[in-house]
Amino acid sequence: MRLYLAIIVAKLASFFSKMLNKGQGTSLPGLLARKVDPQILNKLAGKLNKGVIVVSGTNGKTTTTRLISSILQEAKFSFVHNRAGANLLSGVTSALLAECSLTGKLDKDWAILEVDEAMVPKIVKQTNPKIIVLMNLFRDQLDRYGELEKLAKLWKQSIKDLSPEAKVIINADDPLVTSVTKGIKQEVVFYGINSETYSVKKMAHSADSKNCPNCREPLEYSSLFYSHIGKYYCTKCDLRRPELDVVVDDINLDGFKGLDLSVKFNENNLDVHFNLPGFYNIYNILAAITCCNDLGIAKDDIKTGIEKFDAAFGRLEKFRMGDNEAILMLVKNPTGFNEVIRLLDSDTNKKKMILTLNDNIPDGRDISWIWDVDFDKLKNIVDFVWVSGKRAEELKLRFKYAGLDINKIIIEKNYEKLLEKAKAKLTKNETLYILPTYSSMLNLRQVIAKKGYLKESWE
Amino acid sequence: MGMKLTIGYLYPNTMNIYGDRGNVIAFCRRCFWRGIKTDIVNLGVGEKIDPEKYDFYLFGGGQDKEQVIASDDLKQNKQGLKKAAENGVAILSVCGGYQLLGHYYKAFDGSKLMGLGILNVKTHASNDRMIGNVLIETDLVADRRMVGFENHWGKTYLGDGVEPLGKILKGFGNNNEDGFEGARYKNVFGTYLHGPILPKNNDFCDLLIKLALKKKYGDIELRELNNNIEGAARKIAEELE
Repeated sequence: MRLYLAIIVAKLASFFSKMLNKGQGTSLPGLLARKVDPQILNKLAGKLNKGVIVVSGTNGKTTTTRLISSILQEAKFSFVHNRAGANLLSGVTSALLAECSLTGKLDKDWAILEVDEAMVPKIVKQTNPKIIVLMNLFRDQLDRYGELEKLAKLWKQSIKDLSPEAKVIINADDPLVTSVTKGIKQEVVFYGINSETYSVKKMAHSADSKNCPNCREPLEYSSLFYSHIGKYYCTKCDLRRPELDVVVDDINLDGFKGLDLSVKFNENNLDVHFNLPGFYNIYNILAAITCCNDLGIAKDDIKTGIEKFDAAFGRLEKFRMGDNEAILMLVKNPTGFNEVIRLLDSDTNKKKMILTLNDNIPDGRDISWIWDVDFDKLKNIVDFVWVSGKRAEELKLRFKYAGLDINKIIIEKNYEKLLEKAKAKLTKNETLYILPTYSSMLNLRQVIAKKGYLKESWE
Repeated sequence: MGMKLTIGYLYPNTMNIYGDRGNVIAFCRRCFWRGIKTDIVNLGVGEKIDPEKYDFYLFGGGQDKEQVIASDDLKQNKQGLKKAAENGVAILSVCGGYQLLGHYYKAFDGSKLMGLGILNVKTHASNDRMIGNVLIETDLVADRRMVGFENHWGKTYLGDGVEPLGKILKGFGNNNEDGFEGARYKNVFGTYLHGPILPKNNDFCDLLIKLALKKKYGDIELRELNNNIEGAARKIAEELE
């Protein structure tokens, strides 16, 4: 009875918030329904034909769950997905509620849930997932999450709450994430990269897990891919990167055009093209392949699902502004930001850019992390930059201390004027690169949509 | 003239959690703009300190486990820092670094993580979540204001012979009890302010540069720089909740 009342409350909330244009109903229905029936998530998850897939990690959750849903679509599975990225308890509950009938029917095979790192324990307890994908742990919002090792501990504990039949899918190239699998009873599937074509020589300043999670000795790498991700081993204890089950043997990065991969798993060999650039996307693709292979989906469906994939909400999302193209590149933390810089640095053209920085709760109140980003490298590829957002002044300061000519940095806090000013300065066919932090991306994207450059998509 | 300052950067790989590298960047840039050369020497685990060699030290914050490693290493390899401090060398320590320049950090179970005891302060674990923007009033800089962001659960109490850096106008400070923030003994500074502290509080950065120069070259008048961008960033931070 409680459940039905909760569903009705949620449906009404969703209806009214859409009607009153008070947002997209991605969190409120779940929030209210949980008040009426605190057990609602367990009950809804239990109604799924097959079960729940949980995906978590600092970077790549949104892209990875969207990749999985693209593949599931090819394989003709039905599913629920918190696509808009509302990844706390209320958001996850809202996503399930949206697909559930007034009588409480939820006729879907799977729920693909992007889950906030700190929310993994609660959501695992309440949804009993069949598969959990743990991607990476980077420094992000220390004011909210606290230390990385504490998150790893939380994850380890929450694996204990999983059923023994559940599968745990792990990025083997992240030593801290891999350390959570020590001694667990579930089957673990490891994915990672073997190809050393794009190894980097030096560890970034912002790299996090530099010491062995077991014995605290500094980790050694036979090959480092970015941040603390690579082929690591400890010189003191037996920790090393595990044997890979799903492995990338060959990589070709083609600037902003995308990338090609050769992936091996079981007896399969899969050559796949991806429309989006960025080395870090290789890990998102690998996580999706590993997960979908585990669901028994055919190789061809996996390939098609990946190749059909288009940009996820603000993540390398391209749009036209008249004669010009613009690309939205969400930046949230030092590692993600440094990888975006690495991508921008893949051709030598000087670029015009917009950077925005907010310090709202979804961004993290503490903005000190931008001082961990390699602005020295960014400086070399900037032709002109407009900075915006609540903390635009701090961005200008950061650029100044990276040694960029301060006459090339303009503060413009009004998003509409910001776009107009930038557009006016672009030469014909020149690309504008827009690097926003999370909450400013949402606001900026609305303005971009209002100007008719981009259709607003929350679906 | 060809002035040059050598910076001892303590545990750059492990004690750099809140953009502390920004302090190194600010110090070096503001020297560079005045024609003063800087040389950064990393003082990691296992490396001993020759107290005569460095003109300025920076010591940032780290994760719990990294602080345990640092505590061991301080005892074994960093005793030279005490002598440098007594000699009047400037040291900036932030958050975990601040705690470890004090006597100890006492955990809930009563166990103590030992520091070097350069600053006569001690820190106790607490259940107060002291996280957020900070504004202090201080005599250290001309406009009497410094800003930053704090994130700590430890409560630091000052003993005799150390002065706080300033009075809390916004935020929690040393312990959320006495209304003060940070500590100073001779030219050793401890603070919970990151943000990082030096880029926005440019006068404080210049004070540290002056102290470092003074020890090596005597009183030096620093050339004025244009600080409009620093001031604008500081002003925004001052108004934050």
